[in-house]
Amino acid sequence: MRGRRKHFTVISVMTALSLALSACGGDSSATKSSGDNQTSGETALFGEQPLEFSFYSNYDFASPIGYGNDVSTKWLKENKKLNLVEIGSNGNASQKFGTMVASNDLPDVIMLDRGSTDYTTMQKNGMLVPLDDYYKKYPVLQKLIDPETFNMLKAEDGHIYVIPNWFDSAQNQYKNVNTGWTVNQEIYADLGKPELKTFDDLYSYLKQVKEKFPNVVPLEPGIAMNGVNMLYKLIYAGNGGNRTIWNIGDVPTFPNTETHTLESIFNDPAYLDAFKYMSQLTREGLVSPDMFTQKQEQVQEKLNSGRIAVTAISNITGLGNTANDILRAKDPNAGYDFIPFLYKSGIDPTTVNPHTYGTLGWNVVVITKKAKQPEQIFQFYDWWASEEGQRINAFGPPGLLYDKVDENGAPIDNEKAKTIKPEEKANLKIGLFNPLGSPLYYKITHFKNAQDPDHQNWGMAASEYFAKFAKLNTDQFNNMKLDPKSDAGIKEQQIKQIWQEANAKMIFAKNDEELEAVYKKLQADVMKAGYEDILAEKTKLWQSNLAQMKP
Amino acid sequence: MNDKSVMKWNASGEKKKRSKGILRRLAGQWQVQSMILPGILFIVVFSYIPMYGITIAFKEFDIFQGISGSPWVGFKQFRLFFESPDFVMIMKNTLVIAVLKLIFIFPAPIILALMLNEVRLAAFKRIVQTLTYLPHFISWVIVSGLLFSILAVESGSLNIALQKLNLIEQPTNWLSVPKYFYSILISAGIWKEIGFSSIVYLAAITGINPHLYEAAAMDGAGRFKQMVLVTLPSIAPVVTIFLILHIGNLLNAGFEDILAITNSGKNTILRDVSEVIDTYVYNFGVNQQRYSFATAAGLFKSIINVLLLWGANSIARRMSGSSLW
Repeated sequence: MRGRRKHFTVISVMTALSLALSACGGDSSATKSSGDNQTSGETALFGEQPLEFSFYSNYDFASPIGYGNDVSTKWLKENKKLNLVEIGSNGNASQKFGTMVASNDLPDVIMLDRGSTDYTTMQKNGMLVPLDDYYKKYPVLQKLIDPETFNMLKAEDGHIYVIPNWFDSAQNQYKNVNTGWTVNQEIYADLGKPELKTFDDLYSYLKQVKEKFPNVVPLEPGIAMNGVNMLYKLIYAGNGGNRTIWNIGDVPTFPNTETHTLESIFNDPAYLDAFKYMSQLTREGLVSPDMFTQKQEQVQEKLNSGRIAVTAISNITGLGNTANDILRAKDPNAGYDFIPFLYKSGIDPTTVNPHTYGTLGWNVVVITKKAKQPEQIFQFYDWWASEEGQRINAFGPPGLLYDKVDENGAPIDNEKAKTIKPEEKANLKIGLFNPLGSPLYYKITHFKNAQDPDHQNWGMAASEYFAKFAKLNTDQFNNMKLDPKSDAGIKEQQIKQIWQEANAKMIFAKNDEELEAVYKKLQADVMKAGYEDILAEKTKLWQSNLAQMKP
Repeated sequence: MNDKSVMKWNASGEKKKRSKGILRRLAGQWQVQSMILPGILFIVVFSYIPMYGITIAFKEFDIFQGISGSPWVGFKQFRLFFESPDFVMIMKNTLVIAVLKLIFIFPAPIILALMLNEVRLAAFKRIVQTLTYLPHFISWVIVSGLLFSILAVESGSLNIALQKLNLIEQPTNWLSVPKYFYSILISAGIWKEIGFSSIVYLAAITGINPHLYEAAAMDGAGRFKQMVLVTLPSIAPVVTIFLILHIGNLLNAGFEDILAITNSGKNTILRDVSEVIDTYVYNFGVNQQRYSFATAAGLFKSIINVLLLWGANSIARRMSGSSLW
């Protein structure tokens, strides 16, 4: 081991130093570029003149796709004269972002979380291009974004600096949600298709699976994210009362939508109940015990080989679609299919609505003042948000698998689309380039599926089905992140660790007594760590959002 | 070296002469001496200049304000670290893992070197050496991937093997039971580094004068006695130096290995036994962009390490006569 391991001091100090050194040189040019007002007079439309800009996605998981290598970006390069220089996060987005800021080496376009510290600091330091005029000038985005949404996306100074990504609108009737329960059809038929509505049904079904199919994973919870698996969230939400999976994020809370206050989720009986159920399933070997260590590839492999009886996996519409393509190629009756959300016996099933929707979208795209052609960049995004762009997003460029589109904008399969092999189609990497999602995506995919109900895309059908259970509008919870450097932020991080650790302990508890002891300790520990301050702080933010939303 | 000679130069005429001699000797060897320049430059640029950044441990560092522009906050970051409810747990884990590594991982390559030294068949020796080096070049991410699939509950090789041998009935969840964590961490560490670390000891053994063995054999020492009485004492200075360095690094109990085996901390049930200073700094400092906090915790660790290094060195000097300085 001797000294090979780098000292953290050295690393952090070195980063800090390089940041500082490069920051010195950068200041002058930053002010210069802010003075450079782009004349937005006559600008050629997107695609008529070459455009190149650098793009960075501020996420650990985001890695360059190799612009120009897949069918969509190749088409954009050749037909729309667009070139993108992708900048990777190297698996550590916060570090990469910090380095770029300090060295004044920001990319032209950044995709990042709305309301994140990174965004607000850039905005307050005048590093972003205000987009108000562009929104007025170009047709697509201004029409797609609801006025209320537009207001909420504005910064404190009244300007808008963001383009929402995967945003939604009140006018959109074709919502999509990627998560819910699915059941392996082959195994289900084999066991005589017993009723699967409540958690009790599920329990006895899983028992049967384990007995009859010893090599099958009875219930797959997926990978752990933020200290908990999707399975747990779905069980919690299955306790009805319009509990959602949304509130189990970094530090979970119970949003009381009647009093508009955030309450302790740890005092919610459903919380303990859900863990007892999870723990029981784990103890009896009914759920994959590798839930905290497995990787997405392992989950996908189990899915693809049909070795799972019931799934409660995040993004099952995507993962399951891949698996179904493989499984159904061999046997049309195989594969996974979605079922209604399971619930606790005695609960009114109409109050089981685990999903949420929001018009603000997943995250935002910003244009920095480093960009030489901000208006042209905005043109690209405006065009991409249109039917033409979203069609490429979902089905690839025109002339490949479709030549014509129907009256709703959905592509009509050409000969190649009808004969292409699944593996060949996968190699086209359609959808890999995904710079922005607009509500038109849902519309186009909906009508594409409607063209031929017998051969519809399973993932899309499942997404629309799960979205029916999205009842809570989360726009009201916008910008509720606490600064990690603030006192409340530090407390939040501690509480996050406490609850994540307790989760695992409760799930792996040997019996209910042990579980309850961990639970009692958890309740006490989060209080000691200042959970109530977090709740109060966030309630304040929530209520100011509500005030802002009122017309 | 220059400082010293300058000092001596000023002190007296006699020393002046001698130091002139040294300077002249250095000048005479300038071709050889200049080879060390890149090394010195490297250390100055990457180890000394960055030390300026340590000041952020006493500041509330903000990437937009830079190191000099960020406001001073005194010992606030240190206080936050020491007052953290996890502090005791982190220190305990750091020390436990450090001591376990000292006991098991440190001597392992020495034993391997001694054993390899006794192997007569050159081909076999070379094969073993190559095989034991190889894991050193595999990153911890890949090692953890291997571990995860070997130790998995569902179709993990170890569970299958133990079940087939009828040693266990139900598969064991090796990775999610805290009491197995240290064994897994230490075994993986030994497996990965034993071969590579043994190179230096093998080199030291090669340097032993063969006459010593001949003399010992004449005096009737068998192979084992030769090993204990000749080989071990001969490599003792090397072992001492490495022991001192190891102790100086004691609080660097682990980072990549722990992060990889705990699935980047996602396997939260292991946190009670696995969170050490470095992983804590990573999770709560760097990842939260709390660079000042991370630096403060890192600085604390480095100071302890320097003290340990100094202590180990002076003990070694007193006891065995061989030491770093």
